[in-house]
Amino acid sequence: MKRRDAVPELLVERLRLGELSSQEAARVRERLARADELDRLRVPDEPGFSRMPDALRERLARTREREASRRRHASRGWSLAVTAASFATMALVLALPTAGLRDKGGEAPALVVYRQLTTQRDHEALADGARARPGDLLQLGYRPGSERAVAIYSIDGRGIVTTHLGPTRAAAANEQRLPTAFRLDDAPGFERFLLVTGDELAEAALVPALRTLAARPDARTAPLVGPWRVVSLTLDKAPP
Amino acid sequence: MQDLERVDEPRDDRIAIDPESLYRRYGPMVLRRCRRLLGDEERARDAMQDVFVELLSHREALSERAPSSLLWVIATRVCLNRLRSLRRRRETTGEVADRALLEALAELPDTSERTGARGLLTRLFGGEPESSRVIAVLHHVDGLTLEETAAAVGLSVSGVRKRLRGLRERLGALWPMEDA
Repeated sequence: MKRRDAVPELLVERLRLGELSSQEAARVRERLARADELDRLRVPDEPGFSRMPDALRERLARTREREASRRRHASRGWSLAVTAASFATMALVLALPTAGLRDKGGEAPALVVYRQLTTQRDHEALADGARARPGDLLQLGYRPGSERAVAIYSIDGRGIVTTHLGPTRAAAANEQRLPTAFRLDDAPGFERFLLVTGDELAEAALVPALRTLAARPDARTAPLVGPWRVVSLTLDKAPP
Repeated sequence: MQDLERVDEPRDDRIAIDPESLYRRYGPMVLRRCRRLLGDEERARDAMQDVFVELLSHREALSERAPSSLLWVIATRVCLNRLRSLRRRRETTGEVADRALLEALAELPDTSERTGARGLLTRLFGGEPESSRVIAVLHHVDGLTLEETAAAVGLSVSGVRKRLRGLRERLGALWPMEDA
């Protein structure tokens, strides 16, 4: 177990690089002085960093080209997949009984929040507690597991409730993505997404429960009370 | 109930980075980090180069975190993956405390290197969440506080705690006694 009083090497490196605020720098220096470790600030010169090696420069160029090529090839695939998924979902709901599609293994439902990166084609899945900013472009996906009905809402730091997917029958057990993306607004604090599942879901029961939750001071973590199952994923919108 | 805003226009605000200047400024730090974790000069230099290649995939994060923190996190992940592939338990030299914990973390699957839809689904439905191993190294091996760890990886403190809890059971007796 690392000694908690030892100054972490990352802080020492950042002090050497001048990337700490004056207050932070003073604190780190003080800690080093108390531990009689100020000599940690001195490191031998590392030769070979006056310019980037040609081999690395070439690797970077190849990596950029591969990424550009992947984006070009995926550009139609992403939008087509989203469009196809939405049509496919509609077709399945209309044409096939849900019992035939259900994953009978009792699998748990799951919720995923994707954030677009640099272009429409690059995206990342955000984990619970991840940081997000106003203007981030997000798309939601879910897996209903063995549940019959699903709905997705979000509540934010202003107490606003947003419908992302109204109560609907679960068409298939595999992941479904909502057909459109949306931008986070400037509501402070957090954006909490809730995948609600159950045998039957009715907005008449869900809406009051969501409004009650959103109005609570602990809306970020309090449960959504009711006869349903909830998977929650919260994005942190606190300033860095 | 607020109507959902539907957006059709994608963002394209790619962050421009200058790898050459980043390499000159941060290369020594990254090399020291890799050397410390891998305990082998040649492997550390290879890993150091991998870090700068991987940085291209994380340019967006440069707007949110200091380059040193981001590079430190990437270097940690690269080295954990190298340790796992090398499968050299207790053979490397180096000044890392808790070598056993470090190598145990390296053995855990890390889905962060996978790309594409399949990787995203895998991350959601199986395996450890991205960077949980790195978070554990920063907090329990490097000694960063929860707040310092959260700042380094771009998560909230509660997010960091949750990640650490998720790893605790998997590592059993190797998990440090001090709770996160």
